[in-house]
Amino acid sequence: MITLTNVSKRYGTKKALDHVNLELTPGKLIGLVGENGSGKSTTLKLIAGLNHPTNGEVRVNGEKVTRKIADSVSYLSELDEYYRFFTVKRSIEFQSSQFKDFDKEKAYEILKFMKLDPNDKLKHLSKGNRGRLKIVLSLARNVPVILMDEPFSGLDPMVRNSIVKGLISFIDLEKQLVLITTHEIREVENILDEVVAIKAGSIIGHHNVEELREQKQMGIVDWMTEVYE
Amino acid sequence: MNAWLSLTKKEFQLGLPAFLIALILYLGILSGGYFTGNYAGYTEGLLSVALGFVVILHIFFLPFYLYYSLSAERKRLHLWLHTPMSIAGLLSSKVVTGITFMVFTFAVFIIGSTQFFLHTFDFFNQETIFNLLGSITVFVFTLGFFIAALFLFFWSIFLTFSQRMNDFISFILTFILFLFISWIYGSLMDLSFMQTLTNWGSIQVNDIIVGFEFGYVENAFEAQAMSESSIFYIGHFVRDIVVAVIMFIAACWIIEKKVEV
Amino acid sequence: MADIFHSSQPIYQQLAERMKKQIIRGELAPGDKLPSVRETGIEVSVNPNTVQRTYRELESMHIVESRRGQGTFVTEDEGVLESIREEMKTELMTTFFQGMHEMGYTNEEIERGLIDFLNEKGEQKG
Repeated sequence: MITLTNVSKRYGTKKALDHVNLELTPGKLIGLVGENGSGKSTTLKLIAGLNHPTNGEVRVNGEKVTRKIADSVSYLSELDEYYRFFTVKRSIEFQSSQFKDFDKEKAYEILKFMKLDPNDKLKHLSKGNRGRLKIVLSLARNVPVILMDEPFSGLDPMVRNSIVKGLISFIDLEKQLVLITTHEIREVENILDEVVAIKAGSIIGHHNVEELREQKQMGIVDWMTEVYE
Repeated sequence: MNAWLSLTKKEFQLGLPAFLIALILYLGILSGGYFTGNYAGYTEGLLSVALGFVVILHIFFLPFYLYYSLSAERKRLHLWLHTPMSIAGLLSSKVVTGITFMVFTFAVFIIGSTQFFLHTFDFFNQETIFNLLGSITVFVFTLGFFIAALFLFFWSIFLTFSQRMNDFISFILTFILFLFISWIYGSLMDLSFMQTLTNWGSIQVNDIIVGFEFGYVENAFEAQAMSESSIFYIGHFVRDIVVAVIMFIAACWIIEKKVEV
Repeated sequence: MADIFHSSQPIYQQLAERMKKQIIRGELAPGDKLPSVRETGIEVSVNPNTVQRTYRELESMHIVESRRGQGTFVTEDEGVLESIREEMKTELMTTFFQGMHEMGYTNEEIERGLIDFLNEKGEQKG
């Protein structure tokens, strides 16, 4: 369970989030959508404890968020930065040593699913395969909250598809809450339980996706167009 | 602990290039000194100068190493900071690998120069040479630690600034802050109260250079004064170490509370 | 793969329709075990929670039944399957006739048209 209570975030004079209230419940795949600079990444970083709110409070499972929340939150950054001297295997070993909840067996299972070679050096991986590896490292944790910032960005359709399938295959929706930011709504249209729209630092809508379709006969894209005007 | 050891293993890999750069630089300086000396027919002298230069450079090895390693981390703060480990754990892992590299380089250097000194400067006895090298070691490491902690402290401040401003302005601001804090620190240490607190355990020249005939110096009074002049105080070492630890803790606090990804 | 569903209608209903068709076509025979929620989710790239809802929906229609600890199975009740078959037929015909009536065709025209169409189709097939 993630709760943001009256959260504002400023970077210098720039307002990134403005009095945001949000409650997300476990067992769901939730999409956070909005244009560039609307505050999607900031929201994720605040939940991961990697940014600190200017005002308000962020809690994960009742615990006030600090950097130590990394214990119960797995965060995947949109950045394509990594330790170049690692091999795929070493990345997994390292991640496993740093997080108690890391499930190595699951990691190798996802690795196989993503068709990655454990012996490849990270500096020799293609962008697509680096994107896949990030997913492996992030999903292999038995953690209550998984945050993914733009996991599809800059990747070709094949890779995006394998990531979607990977999400469906390896998320434990009995226990886990997955919050994902993305531009590629089409990609996630069928896998989201809920969608949250954010615009200029404010939440402008939060819906169950199937209800949206049932009650308004709207897909996420239609709905986005409506709320964004 | 296991997590920390594993992290440290990563740090060795990450920091290895910094170590190699330093090693190549030192070897370059020493061989430069040797060959120039050979050419000029003054090998011992120039090699001694080169050795001295390397010793001074080595004081800056740890801060350089930390700069190298932290610059790499700065590009991927989201990876480095996304861990339940304390900042002290993260930084100490870097410091420990840095010290290991430093000790390794220094050990090779000390063994080499001991041999060199024993053969070249026969007017110093063995004890003196050991004392000298021992003092140099203590001196290099204490000063190295101090400057490293100083670097960490101001790097964390720089990083905090750089989230709001560009790197150039952040650097200028950090530098001004550095001058200001140094000035306050200097004034504080000049207080007679502080002097009393820290000026203890003086080490004099004749504590180190034993059995050396100061009679070589023509004026007997001068020789006496020289042999009894204090080189340093143990109290200052203790002070520097305490200040270094305080700066390290402060750096941890700043990174934990102020630095964002 | 994402295109097999319309984004503006509930996916769980579309998936239920799809599975009903599979059952009527006999791709899933009476008594067959359905793939697990996750397997179906992966196959059609749909959230397992949605698949779960589809299964519940089909179960409430008695088309499938879940057996504790074993999974979900296609019903062996031929009566239910027959009525589903009829229901889907009626549904398709309703849509068809609505469309034809909207265009102003009379019942006779539609009947003649159907017979001609079937004959032609039959010849092609034959």
